[in-house]
Amino acid sequence: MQSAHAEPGSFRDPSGHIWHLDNRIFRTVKGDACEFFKAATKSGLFDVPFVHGGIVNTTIVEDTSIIDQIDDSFELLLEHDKVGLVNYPYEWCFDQLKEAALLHLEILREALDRDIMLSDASAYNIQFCGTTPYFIDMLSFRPYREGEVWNGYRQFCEQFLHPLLLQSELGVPFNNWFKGTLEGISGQDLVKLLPLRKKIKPKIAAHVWLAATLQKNAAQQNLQKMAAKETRQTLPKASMRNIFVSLYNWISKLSLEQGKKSAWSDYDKNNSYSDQEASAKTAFITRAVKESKPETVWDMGCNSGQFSEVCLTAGAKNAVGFDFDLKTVGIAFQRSKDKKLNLLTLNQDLANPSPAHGWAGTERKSLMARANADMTIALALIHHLVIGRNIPLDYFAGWLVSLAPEGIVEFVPKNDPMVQILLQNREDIFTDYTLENFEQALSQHAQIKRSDVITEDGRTLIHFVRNER
Amino acid sequence: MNRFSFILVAVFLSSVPAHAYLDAGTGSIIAQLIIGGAAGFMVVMKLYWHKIKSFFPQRNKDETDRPE
Repeated sequence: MQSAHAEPGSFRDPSGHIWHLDNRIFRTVKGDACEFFKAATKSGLFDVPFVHGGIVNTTIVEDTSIIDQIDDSFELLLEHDKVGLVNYPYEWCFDQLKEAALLHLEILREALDRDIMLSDASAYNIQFCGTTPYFIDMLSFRPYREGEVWNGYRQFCEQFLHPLLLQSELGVPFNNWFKGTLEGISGQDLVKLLPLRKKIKPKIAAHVWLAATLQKNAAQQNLQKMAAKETRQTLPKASMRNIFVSLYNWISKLSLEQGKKSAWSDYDKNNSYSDQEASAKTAFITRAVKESKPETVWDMGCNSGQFSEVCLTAGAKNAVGFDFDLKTVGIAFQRSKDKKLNLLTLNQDLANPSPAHGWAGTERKSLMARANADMTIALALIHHLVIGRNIPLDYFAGWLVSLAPEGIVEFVPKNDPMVQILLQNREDIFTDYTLENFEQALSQHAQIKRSDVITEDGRTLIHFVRNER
Repeated sequence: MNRFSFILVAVFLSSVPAHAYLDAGTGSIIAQLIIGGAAGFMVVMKLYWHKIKSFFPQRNKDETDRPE
């Protein structure tokens, strides 16, 4: 049994903190927030069937054996359902951020109808569990004050609207920018990038350009004091509700340009292996998953999620698929939604995964620190990292084994057409890139349980089990 | 200063560099009041549209369709 420990990233709100105990998630609550939570519960807000996800299931803890273990000052202890791998907005694809934005607006609207307001509009308050976004910050709810302005508006724009517009209007993915700032994309930065014909679109002019221009000019004319005076009790409730509804209608229509394909989006159909080889792959993975019964599988380089689905069909409880190509993350997300898979899809460049950052470098965890897999699959990934990114073969082997107690890795030999493409415009400095060397590197850290050659040119699947540490 | 002139002054000022002690929410607060005003205006328009319509004399469709 582990002792209770506070979540280092949960410090911004003084009315409570997240605690971990025995693989369960608790939240301490004190002060007015206790009454606010009870009032929100009573209002029925937590029972609303939202279209785009939900509010995380939360119960009041009365068990004193748990309460006594939590070393914090609080008046109320809540327990949240666990949502699996913690994920951040800069790891989501466009459609995921859009779903999260729509859920947030739905909650705002339903809350306002019950005279409840949300104290902020942080995208980090939403977590994806499979394909479903859940709102997780139960301390955000407080009573609505007649005539108040929407305090979370700027944060909503910076963390939802602007990143979505950056991608839908300009075709630039928001992820790396969002990862750099953590707080999203400011209106002033976005306005600089938008051409005039986009800036004058009425909704962009209203929600992006106007606020950015006012903000830019606010310092000189002492507008702050005037704004403070102006904003006292001035936004009618119906107007606020209208802003929520119009943002909802607008965002639900935002989409990426159709018809543009990434190099990977047709990989399912146009890859270099035959149906027979695909079924050999499926059989190998199915057997390994049935033997090992993993709860969580990480699919490193998941592409369209085809083999994540194989793992789930073979009995894995949930899967997380990572890919560096945002289009394929979008496709995998759609597959997961359509087929109702328990597959969480996230954007990661595996040669440069999400770092630890935020305050004191502990607020947002690195991907490696969040590792929760029982098994990994890394199919046709090795050449991208070893040849494409110059990661030494033994580094790759050590890293892969460190992720989970066991895994399946596909070795792609140098004569494979896909490897030849990677090598065609560069000097071949990868003389040690052979199956023998890879197996040797792997056996430094793990036992090779089974190995099968699945293509004529020698693509090989290896099921390994990590050595006891 | 009334709100309208306040907004005009705010929007059409020459640009100045943002300053470090500026509350980052000022622009968004004023913007939503303007947007809220427009949205509120639309609601009023919808609510009273039939009254506005009936204010203007209209040729009744039934009348025009009536055979001579």
